[in-house]
Amino acid sequence: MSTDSKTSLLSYEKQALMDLLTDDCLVVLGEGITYQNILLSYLESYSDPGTLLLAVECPEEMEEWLLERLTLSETAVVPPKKVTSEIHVEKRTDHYLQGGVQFISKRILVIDLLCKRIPTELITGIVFFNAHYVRDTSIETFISRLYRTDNKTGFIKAFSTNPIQLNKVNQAETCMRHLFLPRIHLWPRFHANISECIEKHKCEVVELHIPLTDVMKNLQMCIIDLLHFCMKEVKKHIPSLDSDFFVVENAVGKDYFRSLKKVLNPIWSHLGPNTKQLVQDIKIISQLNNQLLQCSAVRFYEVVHKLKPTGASRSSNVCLWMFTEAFGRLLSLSKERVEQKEAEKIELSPKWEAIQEILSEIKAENKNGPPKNTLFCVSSYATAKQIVKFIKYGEVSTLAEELLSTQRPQKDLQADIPPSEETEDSRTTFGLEESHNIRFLVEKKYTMIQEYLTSLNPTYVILHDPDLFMVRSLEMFRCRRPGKPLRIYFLVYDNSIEEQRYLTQLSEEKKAFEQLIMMKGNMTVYTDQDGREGTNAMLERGHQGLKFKDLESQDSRQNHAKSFPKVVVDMRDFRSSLPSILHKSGMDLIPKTIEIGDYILTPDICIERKSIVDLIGSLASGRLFQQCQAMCNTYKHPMLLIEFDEANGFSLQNYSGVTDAVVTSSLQTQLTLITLHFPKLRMIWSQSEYTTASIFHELKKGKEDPDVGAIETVSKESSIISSEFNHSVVNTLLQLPGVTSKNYFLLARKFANILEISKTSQERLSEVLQNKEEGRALFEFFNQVENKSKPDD
Amino acid sequence: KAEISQNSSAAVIVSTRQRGNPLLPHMRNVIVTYRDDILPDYVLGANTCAIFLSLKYHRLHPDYIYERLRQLGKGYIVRILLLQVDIPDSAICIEELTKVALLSSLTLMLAWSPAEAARYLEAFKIYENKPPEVLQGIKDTSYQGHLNGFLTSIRGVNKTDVARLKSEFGTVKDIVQADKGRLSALPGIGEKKAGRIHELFRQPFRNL
Repeated sequence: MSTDSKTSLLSYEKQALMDLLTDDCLVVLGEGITYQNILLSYLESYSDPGTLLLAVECPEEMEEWLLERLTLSETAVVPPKKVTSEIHVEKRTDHYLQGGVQFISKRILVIDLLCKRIPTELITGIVFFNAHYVRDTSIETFISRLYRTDNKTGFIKAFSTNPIQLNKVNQAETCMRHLFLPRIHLWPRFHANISECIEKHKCEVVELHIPLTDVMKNLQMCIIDLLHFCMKEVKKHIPSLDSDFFVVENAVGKDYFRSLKKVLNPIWSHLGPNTKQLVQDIKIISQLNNQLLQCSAVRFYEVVHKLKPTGASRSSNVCLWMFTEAFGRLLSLSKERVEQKEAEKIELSPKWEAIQEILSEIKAENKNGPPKNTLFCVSSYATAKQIVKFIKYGEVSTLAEELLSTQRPQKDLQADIPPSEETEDSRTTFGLEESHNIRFLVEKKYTMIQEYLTSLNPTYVILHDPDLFMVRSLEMFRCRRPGKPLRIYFLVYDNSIEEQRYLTQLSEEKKAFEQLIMMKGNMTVYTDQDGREGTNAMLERGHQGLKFKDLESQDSRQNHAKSFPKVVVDMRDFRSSLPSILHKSGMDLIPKTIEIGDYILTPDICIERKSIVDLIGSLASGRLFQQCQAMCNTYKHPMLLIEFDEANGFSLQNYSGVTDAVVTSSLQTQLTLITLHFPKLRMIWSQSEYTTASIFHELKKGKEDPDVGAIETVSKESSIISSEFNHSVVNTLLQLPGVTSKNYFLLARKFANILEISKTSQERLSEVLQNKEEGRALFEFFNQVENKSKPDD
Repeated sequence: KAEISQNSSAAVIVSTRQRGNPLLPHMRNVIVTYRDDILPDYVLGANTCAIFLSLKYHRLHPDYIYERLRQLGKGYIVRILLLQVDIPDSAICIEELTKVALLSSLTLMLAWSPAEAARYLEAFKIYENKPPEVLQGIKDTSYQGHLNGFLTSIRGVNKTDVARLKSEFGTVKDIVQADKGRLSALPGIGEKKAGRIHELFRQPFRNL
């Protein structure tokens, strides 16, 4: 680890690594505090054939990076491996037995644990990611339970980079209990080790507080007034809503709309059309805020102008707020801002002037030296494009050109990026010549931001929009390159909504960490929380673990003391949380790829499970009809399980409103038709997976277990797509014109993949399909340039 | 039986005991006639009938439904138990009635308002003899229809993405051949989605 080629660990990383090596723990890091180096060193020490460490559902980019690094590592005795579905099930066990660090998806792991393809007792440890999402119904929870039942010595570690989520309703404790973690380690930015480190390698920060122009101030006021107005209206309609939702300061936050929608979802069907419209309007108005700060005066005017009630389109749903004085002012102010005869008089974005100064300052500094890189961090592609234009042509002509482009369709704006040879490079330069030494980074939470920054190698960074993640990432970046200077220009509009938002972001994270620290101090950790010995309640199975207690549970548990009832579960359904809950409630699961139904409870009972979204989709595509037909032909008691989602409320009307007439497009009518066509089919309406589990137990009471052998023969005969082929790809293939269930295999046998078909000539396609017409249809579909419909405004 | 032959009328036959049910004023799309000699609450076709139950009522009179079902016997092919969910904590009630419905060969339908309940009853009558085409998913065979079908069959891709891909690339061939970077640079298509699109076009048809 001491060799130069390897990244040496910072002091906090060393400490975190020590923690990681000693405990079963949850590691929580602040926004932008990186942990990939800790993880790399940690995994290196387990890259040994004598161990088996499983990294479950590692974030994609990080997994790639770790795979590469571990392969090159000198310390690692065996190279890392990836477990994929391509490794045949019969070879899986051997694969696991090779040991070392193995990356795996949670679905494959849970199935292999259930099928005993993985030697559970030999696993040295498991590492989880994104632990802040772990709930009772998560697959991670299921995995931990299966693992701890058969393995009392291996370890479990989990990472999270979202303290705010973890701080919500006991989420941290819930997660720790479900993953059998007795300890939590917190790494906020204000942790002594981290702040010391950053203090030691300080960035040079130039904070530029840019005042808004008077017009912008006024526009911002108008927008806030409009928000006030709409919120007051919503409050009138839904008095029961938490008053937090009516504070304008909250409404400018990034996630405001999402959380509002989340609260409203369960009661969505009870809201009138006006209220629904208002909620949508709040979203539109709060977006205006961003647009005011991000867009040029011209583009902003365009946006506002489009909102104006335009006779036909909006008359049916007229929004009251459009008739307020504030909206009138918004319209006239944004119009005044651009309605100047000469482009020179049009108000410029104040940040542009700052950028101009910064750029000339940088230029002056580097007159004689070697070129140094400048990095722009912006919040959107549109902003990046605007800045590119601005740098290329200077401000006035940029605006003049934009003025013109508002009269023409928007297309011109996009033409700026070279369309074809889009390489990694042009993605970051946005078509700006190499000689500028300017790169762009569009705000996004890159998992591997540090690597990315290293490759861009900036000396100057211009943070166009305040963003906590970027600030932190840059601080960390600086720490990792002692001696190399880094200057950050931090641009923020004074007294603006973006400033407010940034400060809120900071304080929210701080608050979350402070509360987590408190919780850590007061938390009750049970002596058997790690599940290694004694009787941890989490490891118990049976009815009493269910939400809805069953009076007969004691009884049935004694009867089935050793053997639980068995259920066959379709592999694909392991994405959902029902299998986990069934298992916990005392059923043994047999994972299988089955063609008909998702769950086979008894030789006679077959269940097709549909979430509401699936239900709507499969009714529309006709798949449900086929599935019901197959079930009814094969099983004595076919059932359709309609499973609602607790977050969205238990009511079909939430998804499909009640019309005055009977129309075939409504969900209710389509369910009626299904019932009429399949009188044998029974419906199960379930409010949650727990209810479903309870009903399954009821259905299985006193019945035989399904005959696994019989199911297999069923699946082979009735499959539409031959098992020779990959289902998901063939499903896509079947969507193409000229391709039917009777000829798809001709293509699938002759060609490797869809890419290859797309490159094939019409003659060859007709030859393979043995049909001229079908070949032509297919060829034309790939090559035809459809006339674009006119833009609708 | 005499009753069944009379049922094949154009109207929904409503048992007189249903009078006063708040769903009845919502029955506007079918003719309603009242009779006092039918076993179910609603006769919706030659072989179709429904029993109505409000959960509120069921909680007060838990024995009622058992008695009704006993009386109903085994007649009719499509047998509906139409529940109106009008209590807040309905889980346990519905669980019980699911079991009841299975044992008595009834199909459970849930409505959350009188209007929704009425719409179910009307739909059963109106579509009594409707062929299943609507359910078999009539394919949109236009270029756009195929395009939507093709691209939305990839997990996570929606129609907005389809429009964006199309306008960015021009031909389907170009979409199929696009590299991951260019796909993920499109607004609305993140790295994950771009990865899935890119991968699917390159995934071999054959299982190894």
